[in-house]
Amino acid sequence: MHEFGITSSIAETALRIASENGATKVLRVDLLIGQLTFLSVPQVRFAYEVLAKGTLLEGSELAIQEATGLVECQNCHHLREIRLPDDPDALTEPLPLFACPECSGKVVVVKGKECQITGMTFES
Amino acid sequence: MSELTDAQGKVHQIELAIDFLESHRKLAEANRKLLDEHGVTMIDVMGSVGAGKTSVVEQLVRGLKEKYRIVVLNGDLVTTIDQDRILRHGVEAIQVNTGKECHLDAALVRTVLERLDLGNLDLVIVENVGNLICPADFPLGSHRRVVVTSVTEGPYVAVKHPHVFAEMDFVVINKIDLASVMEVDVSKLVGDLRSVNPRARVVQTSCKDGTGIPELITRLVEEPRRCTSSESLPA
Repeated sequence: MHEFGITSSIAETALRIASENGATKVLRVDLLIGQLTFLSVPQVRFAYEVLAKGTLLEGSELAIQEATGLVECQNCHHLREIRLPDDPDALTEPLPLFACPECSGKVVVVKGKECQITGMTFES
Repeated sequence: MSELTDAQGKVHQIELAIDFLESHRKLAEANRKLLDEHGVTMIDVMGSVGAGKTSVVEQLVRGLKEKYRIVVLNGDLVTTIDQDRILRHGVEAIQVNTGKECHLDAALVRTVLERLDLGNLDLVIVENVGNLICPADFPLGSHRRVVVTSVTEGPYVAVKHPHVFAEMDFVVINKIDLASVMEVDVSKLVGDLRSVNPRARVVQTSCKDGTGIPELITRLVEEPRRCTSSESLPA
């Protein structure tokens, strides 16, 4: 539900960078989204398309790379990747990991909460 | 910046590292700092629509208003119903309408904090928008994150919404007086909560008959600040 707000910030920032660099057309915006955020990639794409209309971003490719989650046990420092299935047609999600599989200690998220513009390609 | 030339003109590629959720987390950290400078404690109360968040906040206000200077921020899409309920207790309440947004965020809370006389306050209680999903991703800078759930949400709420429960310092199981009518096994629900968050304090309450409210007040506000996850804001 909050994808529209976040994508608005992404579009505003991309437009600011484009204008600062004298772009006449934006070809591509690279985005990194962590799998442990609550951001839905299809909804981000949908919001981006709506927001891009009539701006320098219209027609640009939104290249989204999803970042795998990584958690660390605060007790035994065991590191574990959280892999969500990379199947766009999947309708079910497994329960993510909340306790260390080695010692049942508390885990904290080390990676997977990213929502970053990592690059842009534009014409000038 | 790398530069390529094609038929239409120059094409530039630039590398960037601008994180949008990170910027929300930074704003939350700034809120925490501002509150700490004034010795003010902030509690963020989350939960589903109808879980009893406002009733829990009313109970907190009733039990704490003689001892602490309190402001309540009521988040909702529209209306001032919750603010009106708090004002009846003689405590300052500010309604924050989000319009369409499903959660409060640190920037919105900041605009309210800046209007408050923090030097004359002890406690800010934030009642978030009724939603068991999105608020978990948007820390506000509070010292305690509390989720209110209730037996009327059914027996599976903790495992169906693990993300929000995993982030919390406190879980309130409300409407405990209705557990047998709802055929909810509370010990099973507590077990589910422990499986997604072994360190959260779980308190069972009924705002109708006052069950658990003194325990909630003691643990939430009057016990010395413990080192909780929200002391270092969630990554």
